[in-house]
Amino acid sequence: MSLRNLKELTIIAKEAFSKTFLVAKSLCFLHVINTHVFTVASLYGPSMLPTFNLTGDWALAERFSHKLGKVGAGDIVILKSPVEPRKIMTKRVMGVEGDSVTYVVEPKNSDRTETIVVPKGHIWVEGDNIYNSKDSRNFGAVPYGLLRGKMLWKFNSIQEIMRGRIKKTEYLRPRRYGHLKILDILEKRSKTAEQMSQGKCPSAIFRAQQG
Amino acid sequence: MGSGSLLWNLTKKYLTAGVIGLTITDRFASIVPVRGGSMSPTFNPRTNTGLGSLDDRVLIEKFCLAKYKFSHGDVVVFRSPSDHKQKLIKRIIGLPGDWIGTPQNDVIKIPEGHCWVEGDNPVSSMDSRTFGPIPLGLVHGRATTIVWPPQRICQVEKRIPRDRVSPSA
Repeated sequence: MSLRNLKELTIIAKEAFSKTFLVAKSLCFLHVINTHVFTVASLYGPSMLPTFNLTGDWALAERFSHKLGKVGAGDIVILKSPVEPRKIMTKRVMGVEGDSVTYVVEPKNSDRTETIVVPKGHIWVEGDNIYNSKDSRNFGAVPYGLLRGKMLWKFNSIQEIMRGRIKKTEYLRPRRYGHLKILDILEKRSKTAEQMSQGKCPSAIFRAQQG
Repeated sequence: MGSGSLLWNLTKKYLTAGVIGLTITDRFASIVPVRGGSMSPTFNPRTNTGLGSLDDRVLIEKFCLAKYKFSHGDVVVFRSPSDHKQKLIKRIIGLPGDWIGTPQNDVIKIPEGHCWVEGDNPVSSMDSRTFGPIPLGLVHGRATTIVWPPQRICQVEKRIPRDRVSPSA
């Protein structure tokens, strides 16, 4: 009787072990995909405003090109904050080592600009919304080793992708998801066209916004 | 047919082992060799550069990365701020808010989220004395134990140099 019990127990133990191993294996697989290949990030905050909304934006980021050293000016990157090591932030790279970067020191108060040369092994990052962004203008150039990924693709919300259909309101405004560089080019083009049709030069608009 | 499935099984096994190993080294602990004599009394007491096999191997734990809480005297591994492909191992001398004397005879306050690292061998060491305070986000783990060679197995102890740091009030 006890022998049969023992047999049953071993079978149960084996089954439990194989199941646990399967779960552990899939968790490891998820971890490797998430830290070394791709990750999905939800973004919030005002610092990247025209590109990413205040809340509710999701983006796909890849995690290998910064390890190969293929991050250049214009890319949107994920990096660890040098001020708070537990915080992760999203900014746009303005210059890599050796570049000279010109930036507006206090965009809210004056037009004063400064030019610096990015030191070796560092990058210069800024938010797209320079009026409300904590970036390299506050804490200087950041070491390249703080980079954690590069943004690849953005979508407005997970639900939209799941439903897979266009809402009625979206016929009115352009759908804003897609590859980030292409989005930038489209944005620039539509803005210049708008300005041309209104007969204003871009710098006048800039001043009007400031005032 | 038979050999094909055998090959597939073998590949699957190696892939699983690799994925599990990578996860453990990322999240829990890893073992790294220490090169050079910049930490000389603690690691590699005799700098024999010709024989790489005599380098110390050190166990690095990664649990400290969940909170980024370090104390004075911890030995940490971090990416060099001037070259992201290079990893360095040094001792934390100062933490955010401390006042520290630099070799240029200045006293500076370590900014928020940064730390001051120095090697144990003051003669030959690339550390905060050349590149200044480093962000804590560059730290990749804390050295706890020397695991190889066998005659040198021991804990890495904390050492706090006197008269270098004046803690924040």
